[in-house]
Amino acid sequence: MPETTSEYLLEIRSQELAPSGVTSLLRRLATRLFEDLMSRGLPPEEMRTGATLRRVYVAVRGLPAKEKDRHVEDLGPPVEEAWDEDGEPTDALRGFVERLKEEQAGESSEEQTEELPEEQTEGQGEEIGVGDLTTVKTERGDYVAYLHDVEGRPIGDVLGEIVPRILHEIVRPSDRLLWQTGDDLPPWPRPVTGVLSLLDGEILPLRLDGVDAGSVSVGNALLDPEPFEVESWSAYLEALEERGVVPGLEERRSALRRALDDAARALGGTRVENDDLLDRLVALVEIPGAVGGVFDAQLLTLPEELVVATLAQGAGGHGMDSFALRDEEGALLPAFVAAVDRRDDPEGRIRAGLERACAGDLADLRFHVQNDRRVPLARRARRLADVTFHERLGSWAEKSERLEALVRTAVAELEKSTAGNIAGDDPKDVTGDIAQDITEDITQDITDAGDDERDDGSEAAEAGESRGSELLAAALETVPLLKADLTTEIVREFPELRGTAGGLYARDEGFVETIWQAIYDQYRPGGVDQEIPRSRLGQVLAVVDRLDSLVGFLGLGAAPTASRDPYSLRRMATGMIHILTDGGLELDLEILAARDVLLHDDRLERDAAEIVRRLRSLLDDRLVYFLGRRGFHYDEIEAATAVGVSNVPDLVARLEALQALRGEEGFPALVQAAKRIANIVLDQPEHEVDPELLYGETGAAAERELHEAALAAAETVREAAAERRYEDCLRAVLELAPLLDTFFAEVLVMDEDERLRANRLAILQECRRLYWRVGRLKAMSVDHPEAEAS
Amino acid sequence: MTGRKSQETAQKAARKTAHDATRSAERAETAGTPRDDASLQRVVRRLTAFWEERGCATLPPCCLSIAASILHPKTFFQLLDDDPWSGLVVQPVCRWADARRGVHPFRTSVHLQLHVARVDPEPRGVRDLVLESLWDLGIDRHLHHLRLDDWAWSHDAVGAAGRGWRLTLDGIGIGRITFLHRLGGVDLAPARDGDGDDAGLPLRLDVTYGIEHLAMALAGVDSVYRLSWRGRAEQNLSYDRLRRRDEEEASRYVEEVASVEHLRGVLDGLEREAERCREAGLVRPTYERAIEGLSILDLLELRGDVSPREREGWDRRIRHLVSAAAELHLARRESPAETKEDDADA
Repeated sequence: MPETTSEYLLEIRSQELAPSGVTSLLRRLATRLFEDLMSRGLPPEEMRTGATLRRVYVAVRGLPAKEKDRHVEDLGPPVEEAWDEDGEPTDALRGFVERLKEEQAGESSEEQTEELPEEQTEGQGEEIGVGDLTTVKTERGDYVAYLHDVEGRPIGDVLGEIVPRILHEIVRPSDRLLWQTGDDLPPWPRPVTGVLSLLDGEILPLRLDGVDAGSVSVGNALLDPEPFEVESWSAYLEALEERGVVPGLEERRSALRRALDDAARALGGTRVENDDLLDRLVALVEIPGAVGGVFDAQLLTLPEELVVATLAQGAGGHGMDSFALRDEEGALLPAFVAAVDRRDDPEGRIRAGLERACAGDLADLRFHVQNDRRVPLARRARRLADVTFHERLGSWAEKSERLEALVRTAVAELEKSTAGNIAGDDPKDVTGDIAQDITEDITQDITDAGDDERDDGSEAAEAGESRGSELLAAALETVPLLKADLTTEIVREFPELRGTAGGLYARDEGFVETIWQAIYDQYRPGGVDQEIPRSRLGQVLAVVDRLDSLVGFLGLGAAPTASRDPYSLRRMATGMIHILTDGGLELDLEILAARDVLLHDDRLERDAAEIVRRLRSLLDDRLVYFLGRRGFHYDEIEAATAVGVSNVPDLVARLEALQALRGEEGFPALVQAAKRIANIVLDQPEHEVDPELLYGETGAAAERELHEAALAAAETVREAAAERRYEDCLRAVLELAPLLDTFFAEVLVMDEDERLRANRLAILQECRRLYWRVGRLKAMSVDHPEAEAS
Repeated sequence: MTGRKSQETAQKAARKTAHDATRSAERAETAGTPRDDASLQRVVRRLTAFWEERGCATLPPCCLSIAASILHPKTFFQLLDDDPWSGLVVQPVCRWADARRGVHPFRTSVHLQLHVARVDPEPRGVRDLVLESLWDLGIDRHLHHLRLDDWAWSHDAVGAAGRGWRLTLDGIGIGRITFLHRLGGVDLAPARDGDGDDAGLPLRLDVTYGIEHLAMALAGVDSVYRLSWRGRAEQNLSYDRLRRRDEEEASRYVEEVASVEHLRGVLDGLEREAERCREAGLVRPTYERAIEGLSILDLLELRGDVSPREREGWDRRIRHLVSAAAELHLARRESPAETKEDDADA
């Protein structure tokens, strides 16, 4: 390490950035700077960042004072192409030498601009010639090469080169407010008001958006526009602290949270937490301050959810951005707290203004709720024919009709599964490459099912499945109302309250709890950490609603790509998987999807097989993501999904068994055996065990024992799998592990005798079928540290 | 129930704190009576003077019912031209959806906007100018909380979109700064990658102040109806007297009286009329009939007679007419030059 290290501080101040872009802009800047420094062998000892809507700053400390000297190997043409028959340099070689000369000239002229002392530039005048070249051996043969040492540049030169480039690259065109370019660098997202670029206390020249870097910064530019001189990073932070500005995002987040909580306590309440709002506010203030206020307690007769949302969002874009408060019993208080970009409210004017705004917004809320209540949901539902779901996919009323049909299929499916038919017991699931067959089968099944859809419902009723038919009846009553709130003023004002508003109005209108809750919960879960709908009804509706949207958009060819997912299809798919998992819903989404394709008539541009295939691949992708978030390891997911994914609760049960047992003694041996089986059996068709051969002269003890043990285990596995006790399945299979070892040691599977070979393969396949009830064990990693599995 | 009791206690505590705060505010503001410097006419005068001193021409308001001052025909077409230009209008705007029977503290069916339109070759300083105008008006930055939030705007029916800031003072919106990307369907932001070709191109921008909201913040009153047009000494011109009856009537008209049948006829008629104007090659009459239709459409929608889907359709039809007017305007701007060339050839 060099003895002296450097410190670099970069701050870009600008007119107000969009709060949503502050964090990502900072992250891009910091990541790029760090990566560029690392890739040049200039690791900083410490790096700190910060950003507000008016500044973005990065500081690095403990930077090496210069780059490491490097030994460079410039590779030229292959030796045989470098000289002709007469031993003269070919064009290829001459070209190479020319390029080296140009590079050398470029480097030295660059260095001259840095005003190096003359004696250093002397001696570099010697031009590179053919004589300076050597030959190096590479994998592809011998090459002509120029080997030389390059002296590392001072850190200032390096930063001077990389910082402008990074700034150039991190701003996306769509983020820019102005599109004029007055300079060689593209503008910052908003006009730049100042640049601080300080290397060890000296200005490192930099020009951004027509502004030259200096050595000053400012506090909150609106309150306190007087600039101050900066000598070092620590002085910078101190000066900002004096002015109340907290530049670090995390520090400011906790400071703001503290300030808000203090203000809440002063009003006798605690804050209703809202992380999205807090995130937005953290970006919106430089000085983390808070002001509280009160409103008319009579307004608390309005639905609580709506009051909280109004306080958070304001009405008509006024931007209250404030938090509701609760007392210690959990009841809402007629009070709020808001973030302000300052330390205090000297004359109470801010508070008075916020209370005024709050009173107005809540008055609006009451106005809209009163208007909404004049038209019951059932009547609103009729208006949905005139509200577009999607230009190509029809109105919301048409969507509701599809949901009604889907819900019949879904409820019928659920009743089948509760009747004891556990999906995955089908041998089809075990025979491997199933996706293709299933797609075809389903399309067929569904074409049939479409005709007697009505029978599904009545059959269930006749079968006396009281829970099921109740579910269906409730679902059919709910579906038409599900989207009715899209015509309310409340949802027009607060789009994120869709569902919630409908549920609240349904409760007002006297609908039973299951129904209003299902409407209320239909957009849950909003994220992987959130709750799924409370009731079975809500879960089924939330799944079919998402599924219909997915089928529709996939049917229009809107499958998400790496960078684009305009309809949030990924989130919808994750949401469905989440509900199926936590709700234990045994719904085969492919069956529903194929049904839904038909319900779309000729609206879709893709055929059923392709839509189902795309859905499958999206679901597979999301399954891996979701299950990974739930703490399952990739190899467990791969093993378990390989034998069937159509029944998500079953899949999860199998995963849990794999995770629980992978640490058991003997498990690695079993996995090794599974890998061997996989290699030997490979593409073989399924064989039957022939007992005559086994117990005849040619039969070996090891294979008889394995076969008998496998037969015994099969019984256990069948029983345990039927009850979804997959740990027991795996335990039964584990007992085969030593027998498999003996088998491989003593028996030659690939015997010359075709019949013997087939019989031995059959025994292995017999064993394989056992663990395939749970997962393809060959996918498991054996050196997995057991401790990791939580 | 203990829950209820504790809530009452907490509410009492909250009210007491509120009371204390109000008292301190009252000391500063003389019991809700507007201070002299916060009259509506003074706010208008100061802002107008501020921008006039910076080269702005003050134009008369238009006599159309418009929901945003950017629809003012003069500034609308001026913003389509490339010549640097700066003008302002003080324009009453009509938003039927904001009619609140004269009881809402700051939402009214008609309010006053001061609209500054600029075709500006040097637009980066506009934000600072706007802030300066607020300080000039007497807003003490140390006593208020001013916020500049990112603001993306679009208006389908006039084919317009833009981005900039929304200004909020102590929680109430007081104005907007919008850099226009599109207006009348005309793309005003070509080649946003900006390789220097359009480096000299002026930007079109719209600054709009909400006069009543600004005056409320300055005056420190809790209702728009406590504002005065002329100041404390002249209570006979209180906003209440000027406007409350009108607001009550506007709400009754919107909610009870407006005839859907009649309005539909008017809307259809205006569309036909605009179409005739377009065929005759008239720029402003085409635009004005279309914009009149827009106001009728808002009213119909509020009466619940226009479904979202129909609204989309009408927005498209109005946009078609507005864009046609914008194209006619741009074509007419270029044609005199052509005529001259023709003359020269002859």
